[in-house]
Amino acid sequence: MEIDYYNEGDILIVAPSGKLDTTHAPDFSKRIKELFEDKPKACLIDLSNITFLASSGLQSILAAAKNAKKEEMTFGVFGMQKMAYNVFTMSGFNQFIQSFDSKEDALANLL
Amino acid sequence: MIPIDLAHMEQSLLLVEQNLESFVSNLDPEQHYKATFICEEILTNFARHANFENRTPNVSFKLDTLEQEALLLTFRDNAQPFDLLEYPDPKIGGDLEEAELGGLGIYLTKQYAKNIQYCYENEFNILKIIL
Repeated sequence: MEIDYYNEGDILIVAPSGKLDTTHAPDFSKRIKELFEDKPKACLIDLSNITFLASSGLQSILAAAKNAKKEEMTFGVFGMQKMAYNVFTMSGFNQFIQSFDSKEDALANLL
Repeated sequence: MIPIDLAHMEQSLLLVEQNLESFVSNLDPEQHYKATFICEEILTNFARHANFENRTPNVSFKLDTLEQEALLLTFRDNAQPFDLLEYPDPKIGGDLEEAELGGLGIYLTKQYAKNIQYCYENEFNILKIIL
């Protein structure tokens, strides 16, 4: 799994690619933890290149969201492919994690 | 039946996925995703939580096609009896603070499956999932 990251102003954008599953979720969590050490004001996860999202991947996103809240950081995700979005919403994650269709949408509306 | 090596889950899951792709031609992408998702969740559950006591783990997977493009996934294992149908669902939605980390895989498996049958026979769990 590749995990790119960059900043758009004060917002940290993290862009993993490939499968966010049992095998790769620990790498994602570790990277997020490292990146949060710089205490960005906000973080967006770009999920547009995630081809498969398993419950372990959801758990790593949930852990990141909880960590962000603890650090008083705004948090959201964007760009999910159809079935990843289905997994996300069926788990009820859309009720407590902001999700957006695109980066532009996220940058304009992240609260 | 495909034998599953719980000590090497990444390879085992790859084998299952290859089987899915070679066995079923022109599988609907949504069905493919759901089948892969369920295999990942069930097999990961075995690796993390199954209690084999003193027995050598014996886990296998079989894929069959049914009428009207339905798939039958059969999982067989010699761990202690475990019926996922009896497993309580996690709390879905609500607040971030209350969101639970466990149980989502089983919950989503139940949501995606059209039918789930479980039995324990001759010291083996047999789980049949139709989707």
